[in-house]
Amino acid sequence: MADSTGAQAPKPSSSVKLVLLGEAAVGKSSLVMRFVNNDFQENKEPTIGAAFLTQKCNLPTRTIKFEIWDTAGQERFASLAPMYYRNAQAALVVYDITKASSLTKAQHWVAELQRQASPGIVIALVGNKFDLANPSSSSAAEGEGEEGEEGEGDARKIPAATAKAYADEEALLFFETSAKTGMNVAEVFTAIANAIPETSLKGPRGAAGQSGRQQEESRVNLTGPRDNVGAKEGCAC
Amino acid sequence: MDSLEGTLWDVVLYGTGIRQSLLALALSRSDKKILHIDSHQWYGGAEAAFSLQEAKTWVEGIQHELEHPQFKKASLHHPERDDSQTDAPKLSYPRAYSLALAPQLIYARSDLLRLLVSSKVEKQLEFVAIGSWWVYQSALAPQGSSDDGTADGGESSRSSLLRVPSSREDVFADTTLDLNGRRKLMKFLRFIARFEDEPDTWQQHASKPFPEFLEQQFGIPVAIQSPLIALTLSLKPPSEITTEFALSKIATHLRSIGVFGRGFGAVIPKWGGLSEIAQVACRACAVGGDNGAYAAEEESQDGADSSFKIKLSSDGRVSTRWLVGDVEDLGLGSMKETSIGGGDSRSDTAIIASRSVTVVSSPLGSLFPPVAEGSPPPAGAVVFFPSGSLCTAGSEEISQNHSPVYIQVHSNDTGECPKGQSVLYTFTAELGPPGLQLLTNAMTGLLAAVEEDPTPIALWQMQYEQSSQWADADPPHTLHAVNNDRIICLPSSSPDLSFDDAIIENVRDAWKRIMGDEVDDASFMVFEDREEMAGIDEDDDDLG
Ligand SMILES: Nc1nc2c(ncn2[C@@H]2O[C@H](COP(=O)(O)OP(=O)(O)OP(=O)(O)O)[C@@H](O)[C@H]2O)c(=O)[nH]1
Ligand SMILES: [Mg+2]
Repeated sequence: MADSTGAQAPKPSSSVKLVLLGEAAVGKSSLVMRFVNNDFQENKEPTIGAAFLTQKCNLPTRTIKFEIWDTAGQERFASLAPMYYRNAQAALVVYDITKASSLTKAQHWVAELQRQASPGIVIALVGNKFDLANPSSSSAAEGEGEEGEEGEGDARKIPAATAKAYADEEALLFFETSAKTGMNVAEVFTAIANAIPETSLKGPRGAAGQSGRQQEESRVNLTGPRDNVGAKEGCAC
Repeated sequence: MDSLEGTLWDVVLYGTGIRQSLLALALSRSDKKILHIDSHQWYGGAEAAFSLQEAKTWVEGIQHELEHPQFKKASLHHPERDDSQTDAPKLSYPRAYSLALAPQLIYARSDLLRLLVSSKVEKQLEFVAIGSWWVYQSALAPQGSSDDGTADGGESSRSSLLRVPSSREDVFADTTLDLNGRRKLMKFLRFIARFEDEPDTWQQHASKPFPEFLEQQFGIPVAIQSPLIALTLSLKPPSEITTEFALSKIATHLRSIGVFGRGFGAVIPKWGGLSEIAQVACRACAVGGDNGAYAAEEESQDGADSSFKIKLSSDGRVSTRWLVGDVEDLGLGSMKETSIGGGDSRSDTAIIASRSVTVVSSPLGSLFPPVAEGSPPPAGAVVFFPSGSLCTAGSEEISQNHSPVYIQVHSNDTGECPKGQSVLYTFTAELGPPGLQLLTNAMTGLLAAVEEDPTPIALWQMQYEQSSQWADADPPHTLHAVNNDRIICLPSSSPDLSFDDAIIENVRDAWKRIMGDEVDDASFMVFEDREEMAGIDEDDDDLG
């Protein structure tokens, strides 16, 4: 509860639904754990289904409450993904810079989001496990045996420039991070918070159904009748 | 993190159909250790929603008998496309579709909606409105005579759709009825608003055919009964629909109108029907996969803590105090007689239906007229094809006694298909080739009756048969030696058009058995908001 002790400034606050997508074991849950609890586990177990977490992010002019859906990367859960990215206002598509296939998978997710998610969705491409790239700062790397990568020097398989060029082409935010050292983790979320257009922010609820006026309109509200409900029709009770 | 085998689970929940999922939700805030598993690659069991690709896999699974025999005779149809015509209507990419196996509409007063709100998961769901009910009238059908309650409108040369009046105002404005017909319908609507208080009118007809009741008690001739029969959503021929059943269904329909907005009374979850509710409910407990065909095999019984071991096909053995699943998943064929069908389970349980799901090349906008000012634009409609409105196989003539057909039409506002298209879900009790022919004729009739130019076409279709229980005698698996009162066998799903609140009763009963004295009914699925919690708030009793 990072924020609960802070004095409640009268800053406007809004919820943002954010989804994490990416191949298994690239470090999605680890990034979230770093962001939410400032913690890291060497052997984090794979996510089953998805996990839900929230975290606030204080910007100078407003507070963003992230409602985070951390999805499972294992293929057997792939068919679940649409229900998590629907209506999401932001997506973090994660790959592992030491594993070439994970960028390909990330690109698939980006393509799917561009076709299927809300039109205004903010997408960040994130290359994780930066600590394994730089030999001088990855003393633990050999012990980890990530994906069987070992040997001297750089475990990096994906040059930053390659991923950056792709991100630019698709107009994605781009970061390299390390959930392990914490590098750039908060920065990703802050950049996303800043990139969400003010107009798509609403009060704490209502954040869902962002994907356009029309859909919003057809939505039935179960928790309170609309303003002008008249119970005269048919309703005999 | 607990290992699967090393843990004594309180509950092993097998399958992610709507019942198991709601039970997972109900148990999610208890301190029970719950292992929730499913043998499928998708969530939702018989209430799943599929992309085109997943639908194909599912159909192949049925064809190879990998699926539960609840589903049969599945096939896919991809009409030939002439690709040289670039502006010909086309399917979109497979994931643009989320086609529902259970596109059941939910009446506004259903317990399900109340519980989704009280358990706070409603916030993760979206609902859209079912607007109009329509009755199909065939051009080939004989036209009304002068004293049958219909207005004398001359011969009609084409098939048409009549909107079912949903209020007394509607009846009053209905030009297809003559004055006499309107007056009789009004009288009936006044009666049904409070039919429980007037047992003298209907009690002696309770288990007799509804059409006779309408005729004898209200003088409503058969010719104008269809709109009322449409509201029963029954797949039976009218002569088999009992008065008691019909009255309660029609009353439910009418009493639901206005609850969430004027002019409509039923909703559906967006993005693929009950599947969406199942998934959201499942999230309350993490779900793991078990890739085998059958859930469990009784292994041993340990009297001391009344737990027993079950064998999972992929993950070895686990110990549990309770095992919950449905008839198919548990293979408890021997229990089906006693445990099927919550509540009143006489003859209504063994429903079998021919079904089809069709993607159509038009939004079919004329079926979704606005229902009332200020109400959300409807995303769904129901079209009823009464007995005597369709031709049957091999005949150019209307058959007087075919099974009725229902088509639920969903617009792209349901999230089930892309813009510019719509999805037709058909239902009839007629089986085999005649059933399929009937469904095809109904669809053809509907697409002609909307009078669009060019006539909309089917872009993709799947057909199958669904039964609410095993039709065959021998279940593949039995759990004879097991301590039966620790195994809860939930009824299997049935091809209903609307959500049956008996499902809620089944789930509540199972929840009470598992929770024991700790709970009372009032606390069933009533949860505090957990929105303000930061950090991982999934239950950590998953199988990591
Ligand atoms: N060296 C290093 N290891 C990391 C980093 N982030 C995650 N890991 C490790 O990578 C493994 C997988 O991390 P997870 O966070 O579980 O990966 P995930 O993407 O959530 O995986 P799924 O839930 O299966 O989709 C764990 O052993 C983590 O400790 C990182 O930045 N550097
Ligand atoms: Mg994870």
